[in-house]
Amino acid sequence: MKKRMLEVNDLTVRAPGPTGGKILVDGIDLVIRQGGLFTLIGETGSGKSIVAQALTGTLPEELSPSGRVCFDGVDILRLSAHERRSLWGRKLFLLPQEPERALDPTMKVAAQVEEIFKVLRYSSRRKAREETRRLFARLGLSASNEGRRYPCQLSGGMNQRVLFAMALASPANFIVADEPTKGLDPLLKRRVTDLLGELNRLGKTVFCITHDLLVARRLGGNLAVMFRTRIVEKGPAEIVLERPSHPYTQGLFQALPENGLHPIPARMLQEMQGV
Amino acid sequence: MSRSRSILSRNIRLSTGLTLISVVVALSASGPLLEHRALDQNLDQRLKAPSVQMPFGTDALGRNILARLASGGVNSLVLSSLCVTASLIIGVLLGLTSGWLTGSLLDKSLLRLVDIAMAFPGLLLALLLAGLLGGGPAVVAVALIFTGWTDYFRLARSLTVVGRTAPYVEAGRLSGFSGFFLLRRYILPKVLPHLSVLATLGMGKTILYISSLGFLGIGLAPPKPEWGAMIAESLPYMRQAPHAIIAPAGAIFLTILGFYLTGQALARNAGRQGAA
Repeated sequence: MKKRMLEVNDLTVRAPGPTGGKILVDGIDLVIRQGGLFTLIGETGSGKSIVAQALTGTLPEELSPSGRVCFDGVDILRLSAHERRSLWGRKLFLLPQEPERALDPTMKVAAQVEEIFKVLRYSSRRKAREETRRLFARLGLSASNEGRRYPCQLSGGMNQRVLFAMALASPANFIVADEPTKGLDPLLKRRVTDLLGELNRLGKTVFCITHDLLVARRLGGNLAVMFRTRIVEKGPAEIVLERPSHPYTQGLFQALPENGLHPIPARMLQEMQGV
Repeated sequence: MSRSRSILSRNIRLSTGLTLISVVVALSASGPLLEHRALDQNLDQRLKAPSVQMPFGTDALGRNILARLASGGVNSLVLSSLCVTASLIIGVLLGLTSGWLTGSLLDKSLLRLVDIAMAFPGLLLALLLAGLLGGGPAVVAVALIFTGWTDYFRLARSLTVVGRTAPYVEAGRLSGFSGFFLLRRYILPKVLPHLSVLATLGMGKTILYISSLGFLGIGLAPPKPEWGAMIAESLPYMRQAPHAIIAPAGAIFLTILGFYLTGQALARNAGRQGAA
């Protein structure tokens, strides 16, 4: 059994408000092992992004989390803001959404990847350039062509790959991707999903959050289904996706286009809410 | 190289502005050589009209006006670049810090300090300081820097406030870059082009201030030449020798025009870059 990279016990997050506030995440448990690939799937508003924020220590101030989020032996929820900051980029890397906006528009993309080497790995200028060239080649980019361009001159898919190069460049072993396929066309979606798999094969532990069953299916690894603040089902992706046991997960499958696009009955949702 | 030339030929403001500035700088560069001629009095040659030997004529003490313009130009240019550079450095450093720490006690106190500095008209402050400490270029510099850094501060601060919430800065922070690094690599490069515009315009403004103070007798002590002081000295002879006033006034006008046109051209360019 591999070492536990991340262990979440009874994580509950409340929004501020009278009588204790609304519950956004309700007592979830997760274990992610080193080198693992974990997908959290759920609908909009189910609280999956809040979970990602709790894991990376980027929860908004006003939300009060309880429980334990043990990352590499330390409880992230108990860390000071400064200590949490020191994890970013060094221990965990948050893959930003919307690559065009997450890259500096006035800096050439290769230079932005080189910065990661220089600042986070203390590489020399020459070493940073060499490493960036290697990473670009591995991701199907050319450092001497695409690398010398600005983000606005590259396509969304290429910028996305630059961000993946940054994730690979950072010394962080744990990569969190919050909706990495948001707003992408189906082809690009598949490529990004494959890139996440590639990150994982290259030794990074990947935690991916999505609302897309197809992404989850393509990624594989472990899967947890989140519904209305709770995790309703989890296990290896192939098992959960082959034989969903929870009615919500079954409903999700019925709603897929190839299964006939059946919406989940409102009555069923209400019943499940009571569970 | 070819690209910068094509921009030059296309942009008439920029080329006119830069030409004017280069003429003034070239004239001033010869100033130190002409220094003793600028001070040489020749009472036989008082208030002579422009001629081939003396292109701008002579003043009331028979001094060569061209030499005095050149020599005075050095003083104005050196003093104003000093003021602008100092204001710029202070403004950028404090502006970036203040903008980065928006809402902090430091930010609030700096904003109040700016309010105070802006409430003082530069000219009056210089007069006040001159009254307390006696004149001299140092007093002029202190007064102009004290009132001048606020423009750079406010622009640098507001650009930083906008820039720090940009998604790529946020992403950089999550990639583990320190605040100082983000300011230096992500924010400063976006702030500087705008500030260079402001600084170019500021050069013209500062030269005008220096001349006004020279006219009022604060700044360099006579007989050292200073454009504003030259106007003041020749004022009583305006009827007999208008050239003695027109020459320094024209020099001030053309210098300010040069900086203004250049600043405007740079501003358009910065605006175009910002829009792209």
